[in-house]
Amino acid sequence: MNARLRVVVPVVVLVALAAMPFTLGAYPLGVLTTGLAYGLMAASLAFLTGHAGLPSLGHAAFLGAGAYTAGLTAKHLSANAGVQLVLAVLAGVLFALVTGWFAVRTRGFFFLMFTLAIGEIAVQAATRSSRVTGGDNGLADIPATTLFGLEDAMPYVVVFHWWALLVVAAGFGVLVALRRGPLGAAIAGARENEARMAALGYSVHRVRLAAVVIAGAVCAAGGALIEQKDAFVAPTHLDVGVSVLLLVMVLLGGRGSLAGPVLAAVALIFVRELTSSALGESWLLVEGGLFVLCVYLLPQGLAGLWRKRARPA
Amino acid sequence: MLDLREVSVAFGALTAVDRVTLRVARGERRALIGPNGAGKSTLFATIAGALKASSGTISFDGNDVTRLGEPRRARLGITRTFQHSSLFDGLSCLDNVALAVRAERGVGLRAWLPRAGRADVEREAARHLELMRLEPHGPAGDLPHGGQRRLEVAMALARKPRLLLLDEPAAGMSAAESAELAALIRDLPAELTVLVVEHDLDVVFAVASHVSVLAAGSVIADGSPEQVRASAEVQRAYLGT
Repeated sequence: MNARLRVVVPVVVLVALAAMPFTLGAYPLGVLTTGLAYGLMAASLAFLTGHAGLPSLGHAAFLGAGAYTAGLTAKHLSANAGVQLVLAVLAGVLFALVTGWFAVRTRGFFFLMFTLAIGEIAVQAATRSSRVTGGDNGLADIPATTLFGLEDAMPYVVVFHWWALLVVAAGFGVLVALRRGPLGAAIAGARENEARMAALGYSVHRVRLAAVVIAGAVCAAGGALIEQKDAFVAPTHLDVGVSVLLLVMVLLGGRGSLAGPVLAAVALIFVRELTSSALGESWLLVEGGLFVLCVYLLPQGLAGLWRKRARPA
Repeated sequence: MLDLREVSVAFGALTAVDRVTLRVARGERRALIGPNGAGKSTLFATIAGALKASSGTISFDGNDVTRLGEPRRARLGITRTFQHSSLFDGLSCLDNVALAVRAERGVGLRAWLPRAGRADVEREAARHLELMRLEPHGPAGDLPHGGQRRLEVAMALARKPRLLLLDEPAAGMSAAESAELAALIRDLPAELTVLVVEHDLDVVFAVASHVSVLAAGSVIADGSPEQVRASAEVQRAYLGT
């Protein structure tokens, strides 16, 4: 892509997405908003899986960290969307530091298993500490999030769509900028060749931890949006099925890309809405079918996940 | 500069390096030779910090570095090349060397660099590539063998080491390429200390001011290239004459 297209395309896409409230009804607009939030989380997972070479099966734990923090903030501290977002991102960073410190000391298959365990522990934590989180029933009775007073002038779904778009664009921009910078290059270096990175003076664990923290913080921002949109969060939001869904989005979109997974996420969320109302739980068959298709059709399918592959960063 | 005292490295019952004592002075060009399995590469990895010494001490510039990990030693000024080319295969040659340049400038983990800083890093990386007659673009993994060997050296030099460890830099090179490499090592700044493991004795005798001979994990001879060449013990153990 040449330099001019690189500026024009994102601007056009942003303007088109911002104009959606004028063309879409409240229901499809809400689905699009959710799709964009999942898109941000899928992009953060693509950063971790594709750019850092660390495939995770527990990424929904970060969704949970962000969503529960935003919900608890709304209930006990502040109805302001910005305050909730900042605290959610901080929670994502903290959770990434604690779990990442251990996770980055494992590789490939063991990293995958470790993150799977982290995801399971997060679900258990959300379920068991029912006095704080509402347990299985989820965190309910969350007061509606205020959006800087704009929600008094315009329909809530419209203002929330813009707020979500702003957060998704900012988070996506952070991922793109970091991938291009020195730290992003170091993360790619740690993916390509650990021994050489150490010989050059880079602490590989620290570089990997930075990748986990970046991905976790951005994913937590997406999680906060999920909670704010419906004023609800439950352990099912961070189920392993959600982690798998995010991974399918990444594979479908291409793990070497950040924009691809966003697109795949929006598409999958729409497919989920359309099919789950007709099929209920069986929509998972559709997801599974798409997953099988992408494994067959994409040469870098699951098998490529824990194998180092030569590709331009 | 580099001071090894009674350094041993054991893997279980196997002692790969056995009480090696070695002193290398600043600016010295020291070659380490010895038959296959003598422990040269193990000793190298131990000096670089990738392997831990089982006993003994290693000091660098008067600092005890025995317990320091490889990245810390690299930041103190010890840089090594690998016996088997170990590059960032998927990254371009320029990106390979740029990682070394940014590490050397202490900006390797910055989230962002201003345009001027970026251009500066790229210029410096391009200069190191040019010295080794390498093109900046195209993945490092696609380079022919000789090119990969030269990129190894370019990356190590871009790190601006004070002690450069070259592990068989001429491995698999043609005679002409080896001669060129030897000339390049000779032309390195005089204050740079170089320790080189090499099988190609033409390269060794062309670049080394001192030679140490390692056999079965121990240093069996030490001296100028002429002395080592003349030593009967060395001839028995290594030169095979």
